Parts: sequence; C-alpha cells; structure tokens
Amino acid sequence: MAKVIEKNSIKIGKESMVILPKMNKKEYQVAWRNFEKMLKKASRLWKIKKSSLEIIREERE
Amino acid sequence: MFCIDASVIISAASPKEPYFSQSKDFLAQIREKDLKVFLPEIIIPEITSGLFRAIGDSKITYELALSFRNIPNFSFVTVDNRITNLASWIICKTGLKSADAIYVALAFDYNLELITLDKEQLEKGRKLIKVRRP
Repeated sequence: MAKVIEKNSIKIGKESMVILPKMNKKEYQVAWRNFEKMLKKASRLWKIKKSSLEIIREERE
Repeated sequence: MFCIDASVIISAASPKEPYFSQSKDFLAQIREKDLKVFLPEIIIPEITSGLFRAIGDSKITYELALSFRNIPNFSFVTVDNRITNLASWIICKTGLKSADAIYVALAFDYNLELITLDKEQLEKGRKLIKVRRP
C-alpha cells in the first residue's frame, strides 16, 4: 500500500521509498506545455476512424 | 494517487472520440492540482505503438512519447516479478487479459485509483481496486 510520508517521497509497502523528482515551477510548466503541444500535433494528424479503446485492444490481443 | 490506462492517454489525442474532452480534462486536473500518478513502464511502448498507427508520423510519435516520459507527476514503475506475480493472481481471480492485469496489479499494489476507458478493466477490476472513467 502506498502512503505519502513526506513531500517528495512515497513509501510503497515493504519496498524502499520512491523519491519523487524535484522540479521548480518553471520546469514543471515547460514539461506539461511540451506534452500538451505534442498531443495537439498528434490530434491534427489523426487519420484513422478507430477509437483509442479499439487501438489499445488491438495492441493487447 | 492514480494509475492511468494507455487508452486514456491515446484518447486525449483523438479528437473525434466521445471521451476526448474528459481525457484531456483529466490530464489538465493532474497538472493543475499537481497529482501523483504511477504508471507501468509498458505504457510507453503501448502509447507509442498506438499513436504511430493512428497518426503515421514517427517523429511526432517519438517526441510525444518522450514528452510523456518527462511529465514530473508521472512515476514509471518497472514491471518486475512482484508486479507480474500479482498480475497472474489477478488474472486467475478476474479473467482479465495480461496487459490489462498489469495495470490492475500496479493499482492494487500501490493502492491507486485506476482511470481507464477499457470496459474489462472497469468491470473486472472493480472486484479488487477503485476504477473509473476519466
């Protein structure tokens, strides 16, 4: 079971702590803006009629 | 804290499908509220392969996969023997398929809410974890 124990780390069961990446506000915004920009580009290029669900089902079957 | 299925990420790039807005809005919430998300490493090739077939542009697909990897809210969890053993147990309990069960196993192990569009994960995963659409 995951449990937040302090701001930048999470303890997962008996496993060692997961240290979360430290990022300043600017780096955080840049990472998200870049991802959202790429999502928009992909949206414009979308060329098949299949839904995301159909695509994923094909991937997994 | 959440686990997000690849179907939600792909639907955020697929403007004509019914859950496009919900998926985009959910990702926006993650950003705005600085929420923590754990994802199995397999989500990277799943998203890359799915998007490549949908848009047919290798450069954009690869850049998108890298930008997804760099989101600070996301921690990518190695699918090790702990997760795979749990996935096997979940398959026997629920009848889920292998990759679907890996997401459920991660959510179960880390006590996460699974966000998915997949009907099987929604119906069969419900027996073991909190699961819902975006």
